[in-house]
Amino acid sequence: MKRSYEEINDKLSKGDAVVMTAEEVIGLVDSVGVEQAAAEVDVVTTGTFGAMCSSGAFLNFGHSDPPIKMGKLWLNDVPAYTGIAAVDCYIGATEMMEGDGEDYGGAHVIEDLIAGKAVKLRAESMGSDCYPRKEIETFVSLDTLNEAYMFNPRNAYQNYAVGVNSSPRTLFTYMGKLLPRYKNATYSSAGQLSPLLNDPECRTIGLGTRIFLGGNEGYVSWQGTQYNTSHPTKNGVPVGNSRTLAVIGDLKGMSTDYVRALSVHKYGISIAVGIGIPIPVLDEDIMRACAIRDEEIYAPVIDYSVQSRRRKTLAEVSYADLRSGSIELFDRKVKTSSLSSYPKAKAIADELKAWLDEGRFEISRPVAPLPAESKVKPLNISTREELE
Amino acid sequence: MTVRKKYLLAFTPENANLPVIAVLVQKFGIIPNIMQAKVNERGGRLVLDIEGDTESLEKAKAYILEQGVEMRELDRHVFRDEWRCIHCGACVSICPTDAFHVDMDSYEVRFNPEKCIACEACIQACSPKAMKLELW
Repeated sequence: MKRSYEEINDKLSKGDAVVMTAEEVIGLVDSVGVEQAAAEVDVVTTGTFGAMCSSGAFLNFGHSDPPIKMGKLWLNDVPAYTGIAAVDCYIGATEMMEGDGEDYGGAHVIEDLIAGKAVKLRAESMGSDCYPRKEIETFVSLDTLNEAYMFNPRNAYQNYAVGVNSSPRTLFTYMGKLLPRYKNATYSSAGQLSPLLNDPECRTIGLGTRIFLGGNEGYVSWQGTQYNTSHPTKNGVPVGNSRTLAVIGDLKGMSTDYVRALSVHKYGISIAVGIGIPIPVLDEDIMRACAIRDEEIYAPVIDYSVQSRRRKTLAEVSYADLRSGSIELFDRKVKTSSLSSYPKAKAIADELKAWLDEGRFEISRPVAPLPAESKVKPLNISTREELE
Repeated sequence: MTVRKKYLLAFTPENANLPVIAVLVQKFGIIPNIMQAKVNERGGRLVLDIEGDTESLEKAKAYILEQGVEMRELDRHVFRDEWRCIHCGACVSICPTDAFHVDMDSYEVRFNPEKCIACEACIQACSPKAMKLELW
């Protein structure tokens, strides 16, 4: 069985395409087999909704009169990066509010903008002949901005670690609150619904792939940072944090249902981003990959009390076990917590399916593939002589 | 009839010295479990999980109120902002009383306020900040 992107889009435009979520095709493949399922289904939708720190947005404010080249800039007292043109900035999700702001940061500014709220802009400048103004304070909203687009350097991790803590004290990590002596374990993947676990070698996901991003249409813009193909695989998918995506999409049109600021206790600010990717069923191998289930996807258990990058894997556990509420570790039952939202991931896969069913969304052939191989390099302390 | 209820007691500078716990135990035969205590010379608050028979409990309440200490039953003191909750499940494994569980059909997180002892562990663990403490 072979199917082309054009055939699928033709069917989508006529309303004849069969679209199912990655959760639904598991049951279908169980009952009719891969060959039959591949023949029946044109597109499989996926979804994920979890903390994705490496996120942010480019904003353009327009020019004031007299104009200013914004040198230092704060949005609701959260610093934003202005080392680009006069009234462009990048607001990073994890940037924290200056002063007493543990619970407010760049992610909240982005959520507030999407919610239609007014955001206080304050900027300072040296002043110059073309940009004489030295300071400005005003309010902006998503409507007053020229461009506002999310550009996230690393999202949608293909699998991730499970966090535990062997030490005698509670740890507050980006993997949440880890209780002492292995009293709990936290994980963060949509598992069987997760985009990159359903197309593990990125056969259909590449540069330019149109996706669901934060409730709006978005695009894959590059491989994500720390894109890693070197992890061993089990059942065709990597065990551990592997491939990632850089994504881009218009903030205007996004929804706070699918973009949510997070404040991780004693760690900092992050942002939950909703991403859904349609996978065109070009052949049976793609359907086989899409039918992967939580029982077949494994994650490495990592001790976060070891404060070194050389942390050993304590065990490998399946997402079915993790989702059951507890895992076995050293012959003990350890309670589990998910940090990414499976119900939201499902809602995203469902919404994307509805867009496709209604003919509102075309699938796209990648403009270029993502890297076939890539390793993550560590940062070593080096001298100039060693590198030149 | 023996009942078990949670109460919040609010003290003012005038009555902050009152030995409420001793009075509850000795005078009324009530067993209070202190869940939260923050009282100094400027007043403060106590959260008690109280076990005792209905009649003694009513008498004890009347006595405490007479001393000018406010006493209110707590039944939903930690609450969930349903919109902010993303149903991740971060709260599930850190709750000492298993007040949260994941519904295995929808994978949504259910919260049972009756099991809650207001320890606030979930408030720390909840990164979308959906869990909130409501104390008057």
